[in-house]
Amino acid sequence: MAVRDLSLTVPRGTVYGLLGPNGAGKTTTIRMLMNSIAPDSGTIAVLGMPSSSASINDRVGYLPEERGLYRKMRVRDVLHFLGRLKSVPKSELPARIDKWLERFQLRGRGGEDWGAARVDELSRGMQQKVQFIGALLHEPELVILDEPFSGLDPVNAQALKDTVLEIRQQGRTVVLSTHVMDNAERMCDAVCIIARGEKVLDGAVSAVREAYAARIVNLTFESAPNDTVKNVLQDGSLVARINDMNRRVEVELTDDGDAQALLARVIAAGARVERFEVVRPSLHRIFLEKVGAHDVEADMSGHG
Amino acid sequence: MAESKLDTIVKREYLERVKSKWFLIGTLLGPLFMGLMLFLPAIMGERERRSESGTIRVVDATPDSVGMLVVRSLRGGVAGDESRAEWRMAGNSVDVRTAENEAERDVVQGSIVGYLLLDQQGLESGRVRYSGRNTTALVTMQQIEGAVTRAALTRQLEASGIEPERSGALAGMRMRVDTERLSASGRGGSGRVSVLFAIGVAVTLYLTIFMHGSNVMRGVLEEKQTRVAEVVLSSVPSDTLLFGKVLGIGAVGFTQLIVWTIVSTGILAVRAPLLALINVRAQAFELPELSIALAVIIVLSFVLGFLFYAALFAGVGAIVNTEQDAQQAQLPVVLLLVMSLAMVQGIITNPEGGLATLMTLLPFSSPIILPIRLSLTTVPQSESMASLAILLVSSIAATFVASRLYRTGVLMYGKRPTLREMWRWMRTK
Repeated sequence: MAVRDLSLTVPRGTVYGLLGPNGAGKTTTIRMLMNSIAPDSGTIAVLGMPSSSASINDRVGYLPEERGLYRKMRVRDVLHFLGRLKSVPKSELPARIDKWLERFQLRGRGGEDWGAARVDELSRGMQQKVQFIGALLHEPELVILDEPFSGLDPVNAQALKDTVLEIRQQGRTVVLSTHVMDNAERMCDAVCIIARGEKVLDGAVSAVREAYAARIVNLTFESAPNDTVKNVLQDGSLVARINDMNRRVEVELTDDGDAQALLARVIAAGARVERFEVVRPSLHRIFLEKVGAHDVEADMSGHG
Repeated sequence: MAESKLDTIVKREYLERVKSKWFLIGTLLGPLFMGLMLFLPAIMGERERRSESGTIRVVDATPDSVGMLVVRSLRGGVAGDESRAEWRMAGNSVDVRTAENEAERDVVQGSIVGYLLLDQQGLESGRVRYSGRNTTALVTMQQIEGAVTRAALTRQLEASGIEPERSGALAGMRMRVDTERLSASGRGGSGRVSVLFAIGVAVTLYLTIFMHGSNVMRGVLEEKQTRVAEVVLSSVPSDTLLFGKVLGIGAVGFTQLIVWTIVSTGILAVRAPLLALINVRAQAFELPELSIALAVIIVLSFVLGFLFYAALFAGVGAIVNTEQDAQQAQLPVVLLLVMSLAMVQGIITNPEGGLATLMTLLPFSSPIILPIRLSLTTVPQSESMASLAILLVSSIAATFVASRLYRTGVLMYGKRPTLREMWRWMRTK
């Protein structure tokens, strides 16, 4: 069983990140969204309709994780085909295709035009861009991108990010899956972290980070803390966990613990504080914490 | 809307294939092959007739020079081609042995191709002997046999008191049997041509169904391997994709059939004049009268047969992941097709037998066997109808199974499913 009891809501007009290590069930979830596979139980509504209804096909754009195109076809013909499958009027397609090819530097100043090339003459990165164009040609209300960044160089990854944010500005919705937390943190309005087929947490990125904010405090003392200070740092009512690195200390507060109270008490205990920082944890950190470093390390070395 | 998407898929399948150079090659090769079949035998035959320069020696040990008559007959008349046959007199048994040794030497050295030994005893017993390098040239052997028979007959007629000239004429009389095919729809065509036509139709149907059917499999596999299926399936239901593919590829096969038919008919029309131009005598090659009913049934057989096999091939494509897998998994389907073709010879020799009837009804062989039988003999209308109806129902059933397998299989990568898993795919709604 790939996904269990997963329930999530994607607000319209947002960029929504589906995060999790490989094998967590991201692709399975997306395939269920796309009605490629049916859930054993439960319902999925896409754009307010059952995901199995054919009428939403033309309103959704999809970039699968496993990429591929007809190898022997010309790029322009493939895009024309994909556009027609999404009911884009024939007359509009050439202009739209050219616009997108230019945007992703597949057609440009030097007179180069990859649109006329056969798909198998393109590099993998280029093919991926073509497929991305194919998912966007019909200006879908909902764009679903499964691991869109894997295999893209930094320049094209940036172009992709810009496009995603532009889609959002136009009030359209993007759902993307990734295991690169950095991308997710910068682009997503809301996320859902899943691991082993189950939801770990979800919500707006700011809310998620808020929930974990002020839990971690970094302290740097001018010199190694004396015993009185150490006693404060080990007070179980305030501190849940401590990571002692001599002059520098990383403290995780208890649920009731207050960072300012901690600061006041260590100063009262005679410590000279050089640096005090309440850490707002990155998604990456939350992710590691919730999913477990063990699961992730194996995955991070994989791809992406 | 769904129609226009199906249309888009059909168009892509059709155009991408028709535009490819392989279609061009295949479509051109067909008529070329057909042309060779029509021209080569005539040309080769003529060449053989001309190149038969080797001389045949008749060693004649008969008292009344029967050999002389044989030689004359082989040369084609009194003033005939002298290089064709020569006469050697051999008076007694010693002479015969010497003449035979000499002839043997000449055959080995190549100055003659063989020799015919004629003696009284042989003529009386009805068996004479020919030794030579060309004993497998059946036409020549028949000519020799004919010549000897006529010569012996002439001498016998003479011996019974009929004057020599009349004996020669009597013995030289030849009868020829012309064949004509008789069927419920009337007279037309000779039997031999019907067989040629039937084989042509069978091979053409077999080739097109096989080629384009396995193209469906390769198409399904390609979409699976390149994962493009997942993108397309986000726009259309899997049934639409599958039907679009089958229709598009079927249209390619149909186009090819039409081109072949037009070109072949054209070649047939200019065959005799062209052969005459290069000075080759052409035997008349008439198509059996092609009734509209037969034409319709040939077309239906192609369409339904293709649908049937395309569905089977598509099912195979949906459950495999690599070309190698496909080669193995398609074997049962290919065997069904090959078996149908292998039966053709049996059907031709006995187009009204039980085997023929059975093969006409079984859906895997009927698209090939029914047109053959119809061009050879009269098949009861009820049988033709039953054959087509069974084929139609089987095509629909096969398509249903294939679409079920396809729907699940096309997005399944990894190992090949077991039979049990396939059964489950078929039952899920």
